[in-house]
Amino acid sequence: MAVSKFMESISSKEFTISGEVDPPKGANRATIVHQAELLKPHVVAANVTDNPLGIVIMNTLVPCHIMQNEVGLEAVYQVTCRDRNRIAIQSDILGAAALGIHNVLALTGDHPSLGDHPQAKPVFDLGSVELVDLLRTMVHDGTDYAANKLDIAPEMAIGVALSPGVDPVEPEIMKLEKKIEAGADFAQTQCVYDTKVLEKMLDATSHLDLPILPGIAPLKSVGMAKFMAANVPGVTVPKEMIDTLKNAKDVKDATIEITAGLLHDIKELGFPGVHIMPVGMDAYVGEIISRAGIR
Amino acid sequence: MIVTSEKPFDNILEMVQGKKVGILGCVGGCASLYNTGGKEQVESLSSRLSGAGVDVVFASTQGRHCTLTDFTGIKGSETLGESDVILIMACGVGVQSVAGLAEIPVYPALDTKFAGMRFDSELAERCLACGDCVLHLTGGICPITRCPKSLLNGPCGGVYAGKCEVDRTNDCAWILIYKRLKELGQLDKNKTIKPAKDFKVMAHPRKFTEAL
Ligand code: SF4
Ligand code: SF4
Repeated sequence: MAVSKFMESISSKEFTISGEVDPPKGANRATIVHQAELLKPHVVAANVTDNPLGIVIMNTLVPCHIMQNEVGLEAVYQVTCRDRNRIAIQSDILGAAALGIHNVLALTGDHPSLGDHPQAKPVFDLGSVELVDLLRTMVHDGTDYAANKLDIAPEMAIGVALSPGVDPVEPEIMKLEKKIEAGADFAQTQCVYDTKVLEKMLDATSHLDLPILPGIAPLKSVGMAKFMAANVPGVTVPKEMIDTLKNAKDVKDATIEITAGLLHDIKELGFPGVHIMPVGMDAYVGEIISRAGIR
Repeated sequence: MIVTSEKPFDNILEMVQGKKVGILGCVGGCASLYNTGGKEQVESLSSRLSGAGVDVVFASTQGRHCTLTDFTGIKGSETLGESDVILIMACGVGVQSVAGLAEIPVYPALDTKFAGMRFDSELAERCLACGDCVLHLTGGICPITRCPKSLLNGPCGGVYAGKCEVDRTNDCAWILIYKRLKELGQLDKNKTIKPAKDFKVMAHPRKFTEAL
């Protein structure tokens, strides 16, 4: 029996789609419910981010719980090493388990210097590989990271991230191998726009026994394309995509078409699923999926 | 080497205004190598303070003081006794070493930056004294110091064209390590998972018994 609906879907060889919910900057619970409701008909689970870039937003665990409890959408709880040491992380994981959270995504986390509190002390007591090791210890050994027995062990699928477009890619693949050895069950990737990058990723990971869900995010404008290429590591946006956006009469329609095209390619290439980061286009996720010919 | 830089002159002046001042440098030590506490810097600070009306009664252009056990070794230190305060042009260890012996206040003229070395045209941090050196596993490049996240098991997702997400004028430590290990035919060393770091050995203040 799979530990979560998300893992069950992956194991069943069904094309698995995960989404993403951004916690609010503020105490606005309605936006969480709203995003989750828009995504729910189209995805098996949704990630909840952990203060990306070190920008202060609501505690990840809270939207995870609201989504699962009020909307009935399964959560993938993202945990970074930026703000919490091994004590705080384990404590949070136990809390998450008690709330019925069954997927966790282990990330290193962005450095605080990139966010809105650059003065903050960076923690990084662990890195992502050690975090996977810690999670496996809790889930599979039923102990904390110091080998003390837990009364009830968390039951969670452990996810990891991958940046497929980085150059050189070999150190990234070596790190992924370590994550698998440490106990990873699945991977979701950084945004990909280029089918060539997807093909290379398949090649570079063909020796690995790990379901990898490429990440996609709708390309909403030429400005966003340029921003992503200049700021997000390993992201390249093919010129044709930029031209399509530039020449489009209906930019939103072009965005949906481009994203659906990518999604189609991902499925054709044989990936087990996709991770969609809607970046505000939650209401169009269904249309993207149907235009890709998936449902 | 311990890399230091002189405090803003106004800050130094504020510490010693109206006092009789003795100055000790770090001649032959780290601060003289990097031109912050050598003979010339001691003479320069002395004359700048005098120029600002401070009574400099003693300025030592000899020796370093981070392993000082008594004052008798300091040439001309008799006049040191006439000062109200001692300014040290050395790292924080030098300041504390003297402060532990002197009966008058001892103040820092320098800020202690880091343990590092000259690299290209800059002084660059190289060791955080983590107490459990891994340089034999990382091609002689320190991931604790040169990666802002002190990652032990490979690059984070933020590496951008070989540069670090925190400061794109810096190379990503883990790309450097990867390339170096590859050159050395030691990529295998990066295949074993390095366990979570034991920060207990870094808990300060640290001390240990010298092997004599
Ligand atoms: S690993 Fe780095 S910080 Fe630790 S002792 Fe070696 S050089 Fe210094
Ligand atoms: S980019 Fe490289 S050096 Fe910078 S934080 Fe990430 S792994 Fe460390």
